[in-house]
Amino acid sequence: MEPLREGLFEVKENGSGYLLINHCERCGLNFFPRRRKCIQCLKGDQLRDSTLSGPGKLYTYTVVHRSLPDFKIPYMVGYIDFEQEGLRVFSQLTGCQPEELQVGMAMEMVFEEMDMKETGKRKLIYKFKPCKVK
Amino acid sequence: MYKAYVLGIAMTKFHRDPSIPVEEMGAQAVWEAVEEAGIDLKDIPEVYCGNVFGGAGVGQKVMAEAGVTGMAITNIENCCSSASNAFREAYFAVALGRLEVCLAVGVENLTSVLKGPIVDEADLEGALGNNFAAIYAQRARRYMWTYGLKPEQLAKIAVNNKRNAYYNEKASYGELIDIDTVLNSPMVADPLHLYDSNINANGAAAAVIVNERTAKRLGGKPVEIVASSLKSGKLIYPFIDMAFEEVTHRAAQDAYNQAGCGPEEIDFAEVHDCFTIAEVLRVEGLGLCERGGMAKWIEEGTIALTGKKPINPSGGLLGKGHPIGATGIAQIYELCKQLRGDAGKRQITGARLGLAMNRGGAIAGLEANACTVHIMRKF
Repeated sequence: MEPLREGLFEVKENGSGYLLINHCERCGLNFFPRRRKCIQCLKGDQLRDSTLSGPGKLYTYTVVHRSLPDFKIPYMVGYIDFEQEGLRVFSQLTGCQPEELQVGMAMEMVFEEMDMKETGKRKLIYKFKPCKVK
Repeated sequence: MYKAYVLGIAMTKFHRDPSIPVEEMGAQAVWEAVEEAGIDLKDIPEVYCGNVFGGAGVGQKVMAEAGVTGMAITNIENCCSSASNAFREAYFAVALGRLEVCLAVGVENLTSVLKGPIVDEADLEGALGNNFAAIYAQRARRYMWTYGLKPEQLAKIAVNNKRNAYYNEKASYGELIDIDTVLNSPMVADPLHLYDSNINANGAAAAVIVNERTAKRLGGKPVEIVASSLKSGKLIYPFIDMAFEEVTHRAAQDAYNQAGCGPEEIDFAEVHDCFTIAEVLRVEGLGLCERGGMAKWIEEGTIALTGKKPINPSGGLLGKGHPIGATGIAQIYELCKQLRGDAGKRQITGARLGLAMNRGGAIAGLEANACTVHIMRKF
């Protein structure tokens, strides 16, 4: 299946994967999606490609009941914080019932088909689901 | 900087009829604003026009329909704050001494282009389903988690604004409702219901801005503009607090500095209540209420017409409807009505200093594309 966009993520044969980020070695900042210049030093010479696979923490979320005609409703979305990397990623959420979601819960990355109605264009995208309680 | 005044202000009633073109609505507002100012349309040297979805040349279409062109006409798009941006440019044209008179107009026919929520699918977050309702629902969730605000308290904002709109003949969605009406309306994006959300609408508003000499020459009912600030959102890095509006705060501080006043001196405010939670975030971002304090303000009636700090006396976006390219000047319309003492049944007693806060858009990574704050003083 084609990714929603090129340059956002890579998926391995076993189904696991990671987001494509970059890192300014001068300033210590990470970026997703990758940037051409660091937003602090405004230079690109110290930017190095890196990856992000999580897990992260759910900062906030919602269940959307009204959207564009292409979207299957309801769907869950939220922001995932990666505190160590200093990144916040917006994503669709999966793998649980809406009432199971809680601010602050640990979330892991999965790769699934986007929650769209049949448009003839199936797209692959990263999503986050609650980590299994160990 | 020179003193600048609104001398003529007008707005059409906001509505959902898609058959009325932008030029017809825009010309109506322009005619009425110019007439109130006592200025001949042929003496308008420059026009700024706010619009989002009308395509190219909306300002020219409006002025051609009004009957006079040939002057400088500039079209401005800054999402839902387009009209206040047009107003700001017209204000500075006068306040910086370049012009004696300038016209700002904002117009939108939204229901002919949109059937549902606004979302930009070219934007990464938009493509993943982060429409405006979803964005505000997530801010609401975080605010409620942080400060313990309840859905019933958010509902009271809708009740208040719909009631204010009930007394506004330009508003189309005024209703006397209770919180159950809000809480029982369909969920849009949890925790926001249909009644927590603004309504796509059509309409126009226009303002004639003049310098002091012209105001004295023409008489009438001038209202002084004492601050105009515009900021864009900063690149969110690394973690912005979604329970507080950094852009609103920054624009407000700039405006208070220009006006030489603090938030405690503002008597009332029109704020961009695209959703009930937006009013909460804005009133706190403006520094009118302390952070986390809005639940108490809502319960105590502080934001009501008769309260200590009335918010959205016009009914706001929730009560008037939201023609995105016109809303910013419609807020200025309410400031003028209140500060002239012409607000009728919704008149705030002793209003001397009013604030209008308008914002628009949120590309991925920015809290907002644009946020304007204007402060106006009774003449």
